[in-house]
Amino acid sequence: MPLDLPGTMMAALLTGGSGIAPTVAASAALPEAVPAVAATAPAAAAVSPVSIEVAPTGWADGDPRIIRIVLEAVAAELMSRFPFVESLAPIHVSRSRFGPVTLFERGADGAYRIELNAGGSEPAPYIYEFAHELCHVLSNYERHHHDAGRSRSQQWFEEALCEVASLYSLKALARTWQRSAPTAELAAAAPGLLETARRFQQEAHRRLPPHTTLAGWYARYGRELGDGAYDRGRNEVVANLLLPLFEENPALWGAITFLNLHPGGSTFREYLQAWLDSAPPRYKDVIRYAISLFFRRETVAPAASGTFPTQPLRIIVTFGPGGGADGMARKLAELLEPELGMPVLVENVAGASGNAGLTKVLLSSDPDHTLVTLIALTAAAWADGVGTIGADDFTVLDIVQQSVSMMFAPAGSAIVDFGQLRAAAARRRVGVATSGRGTLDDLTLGLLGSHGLLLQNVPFADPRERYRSTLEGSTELLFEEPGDVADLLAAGMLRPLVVFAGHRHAAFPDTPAIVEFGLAIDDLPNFRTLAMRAGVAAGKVEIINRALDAALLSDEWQRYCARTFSCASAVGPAEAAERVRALVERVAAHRARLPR
Amino acid sequence: MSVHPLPVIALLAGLLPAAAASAPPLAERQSVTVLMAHGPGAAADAALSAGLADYLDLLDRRDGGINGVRLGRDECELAADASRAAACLDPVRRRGVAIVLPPPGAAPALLADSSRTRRITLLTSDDAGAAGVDGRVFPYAFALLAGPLSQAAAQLRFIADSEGGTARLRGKRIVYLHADRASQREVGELLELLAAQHGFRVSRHRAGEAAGEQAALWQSISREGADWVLLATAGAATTVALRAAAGAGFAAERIIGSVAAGAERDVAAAGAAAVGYIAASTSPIGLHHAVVNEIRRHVSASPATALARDRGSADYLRGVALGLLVGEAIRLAQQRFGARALDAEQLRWGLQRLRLDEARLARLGALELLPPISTSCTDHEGSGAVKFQQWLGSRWNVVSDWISGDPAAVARVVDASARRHLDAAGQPPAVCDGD
Repeated sequence: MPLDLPGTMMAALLTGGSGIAPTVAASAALPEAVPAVAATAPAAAAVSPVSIEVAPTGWADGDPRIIRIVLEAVAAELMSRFPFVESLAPIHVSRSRFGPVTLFERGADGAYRIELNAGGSEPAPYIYEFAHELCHVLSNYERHHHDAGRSRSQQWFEEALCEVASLYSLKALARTWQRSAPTAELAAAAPGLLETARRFQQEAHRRLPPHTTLAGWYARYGRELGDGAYDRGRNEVVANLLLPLFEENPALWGAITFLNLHPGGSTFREYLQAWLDSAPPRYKDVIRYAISLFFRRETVAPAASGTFPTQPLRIIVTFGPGGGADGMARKLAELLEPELGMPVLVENVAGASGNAGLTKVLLSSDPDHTLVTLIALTAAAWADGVGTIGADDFTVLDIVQQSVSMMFAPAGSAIVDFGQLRAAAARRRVGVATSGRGTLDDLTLGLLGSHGLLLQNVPFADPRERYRSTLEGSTELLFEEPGDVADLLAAGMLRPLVVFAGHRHAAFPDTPAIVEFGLAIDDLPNFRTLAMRAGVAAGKVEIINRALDAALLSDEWQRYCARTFSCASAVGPAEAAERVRALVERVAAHRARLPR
Repeated sequence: MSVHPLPVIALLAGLLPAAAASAPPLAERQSVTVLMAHGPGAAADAALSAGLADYLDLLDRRDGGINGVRLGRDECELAADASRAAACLDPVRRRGVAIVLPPPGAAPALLADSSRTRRITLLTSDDAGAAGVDGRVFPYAFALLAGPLSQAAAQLRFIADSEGGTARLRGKRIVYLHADRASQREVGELLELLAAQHGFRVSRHRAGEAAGEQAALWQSISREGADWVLLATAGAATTVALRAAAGAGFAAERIIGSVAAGAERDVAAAGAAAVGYIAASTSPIGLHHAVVNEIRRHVSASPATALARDRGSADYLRGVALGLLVGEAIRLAQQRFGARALDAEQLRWGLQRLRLDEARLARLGALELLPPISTSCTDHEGSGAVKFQQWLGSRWNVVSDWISGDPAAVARVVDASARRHLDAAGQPPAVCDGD
């Protein structure tokens, strides 16, 4: 359990600690914290990848030299699985009745400060507690200190992982010491380590209820887990289920190096997605698999589901062929087919900023087998007065893609950067190809207009016509998401001028963000969702949702979204619908502020 | 032909005679007289009038009028006969400027009467046919946004788009089902012209309000294998048509209505038979039109509050859009003639110089309420574009962007019609000064 308060303040935080190993009896007379002094390790100690200093006293009848050997063995075993950790600051270990805990506040020499509750001569409690705390150190626990809000709500997952580290270390050291132990006493203790780990694993409270998947269990208890990081009972359920995964794929430990590296989002899925995004390619598969345990329920094969789907499905694309929504739908159709065991057909119904296709879904005689793209552009059009439908008319399955918007000029244009665009648009009206009136594109141009840029919205419902207009010079600029014109960018036919976001896009580091020019036009997120008509039976929606989860976690989708700069953190139906509603409100508010 | 009751909104320029355009202003206030209708079509007309009146009230309450010239409002009831209509119109004419929203079928008499002698401005958005488009024929008649010819051309374009392009119209059977109205002949001419051009077949039928008559007609349409029906009805005839179509097994989504055939009350009355039906709109439905939100904020105490339930209806939004165009015309004319109450000629001057691009519409909070418009003496329509809406069972939803038909074909029919009107009247075309 990482804490960010000095030792004298820790008493108030005693409740909710990651716990005392059940085999260890806590002493009533433990000192609060004992200064760490280096203990001398016997010559037979394992080569430790990190310098560990163990407090010389306070361990009851435990020998600090042996304790250090044990802790170094834990570090050697665990850190051998973390190839990206080349060096670690020294670790000072002492005993405290408030432990086990890793303090956010480091020692004067930059050392990590770990306090254990274990005492006595049995190695198991030391292994169990220290492995847990070392796991926190290795999983960037300090990031919590700087992101006290969002990622902390997901800290339960880190606690569960570190419980895995405890069990894993007990079993791993048992195997190692049975072959070769630093001391005869530790060799003799090896069977006990294994027995301790097995006993923990077999505890009733660590098991899922019968006929329950982790995903189903998480769906039931996810909120409670987020509300409290130190719900040991539930964390241990997760740990028990993850342990075999780590045992079969020890490489997964390396992936933990990237946990909390760039914590983002407010949901568990977003937290995991940030983990996935942060990790190098070699770990992505195993992280995706871990994610799928929580969100990909058992794949519903037609034979298994029995009654649904009973016929081919349709995805209605609310814009013309060749655009981003079209590409998304066609890729998803391909990936959903094997999941659902039915053909998934794609039909383009363009018009009215997406409303034509959405209306077709509302009028569909078979809404159970009809999906539709519902994208931010359409929500923005609603805010401008297009149509009478809204998020409430649909069940929004999830955010499937998200992207920034950018302004592009053709390669041969005299406008080569945003500064030149500003200068040109101050003198004359510059035509910009967009996806429609009343869209985010249109609003962005309006907001730029309120800053003195004379920009003419030239709408094209057909994306191909839109791109062609700019490339052939009938419009000077193109407003688009980078992923939709990835091929044109790769061919050097378009030049990005500005990205409408609060920061530069990682894939376009030389392209300035709009905020760099003092223009706060960075709060109009572009996203695409997949939706069904409201009122479709929950069970059928759930089957589609599971298939969608699987599709989005697939390698192929991940490659696709990476190539189109549009990978999104899945947020679930409720949050996705809320984002649609929020965008409508935000666009309406922006419109209201534009000069009349 | 019977004359329907007439809702009239009059902008009264004090007691100035119409010719006193150059005189100094006598008043900083223009009163608006709303002449309410009774009888068939009254609800639609009332919603239309309320929309127009609400917008003018908005200008008054929010902005203090137009350039300081405030707008007041009076009401006058019209009975369902021509003499009573004249009794209501004549005082309005004597006092200055009148704007009339003639219900379907009433336009010809009013056009003939008001064109040059009465100087009463007619906002004939639906029934004037070609006459309402060319200001050289009827200088005070304005088929603002889209008259019946442009609507029919756009309806055909929508069908072509639905079929996958104009080339796919070849061989299709299209029925033009119309009420007994002034523009039916001209729309028929236009459809014949386009049929010859694109290779589809067109047949015309009159649709009355008698259910039995329409049932037989739709059975015939269905038997003949019509691909699409252009419905140009209003009021109960629309309801009857949709029910009869369903009874004959003709799919609602292949019936494309005109603007007048898109009133909610008429469509809703057809019940399940109307689900999927598509109709044109010059002022399409939207939940978030900023200008309507402004009206809700500022005009809650308006006499039109009784019509609050209609705010947002197709007819009401048409009224708001027309009010917006009248307001812009007054604003324009004031730039030319000064910030004062205007006379009929000055208002006409403004109405035929409207220039509302997207930026201006956005500033007025009406980006999606009406298309960009640019009028002139010879183009009293200014746009010709409509959007199409599809009936979901209890409300419309927009299913197209702004669609214009074939402007060249429309212009040919307008020119021919204008010549006929002038020849029949024995008059030369009015001079378009300064256009």
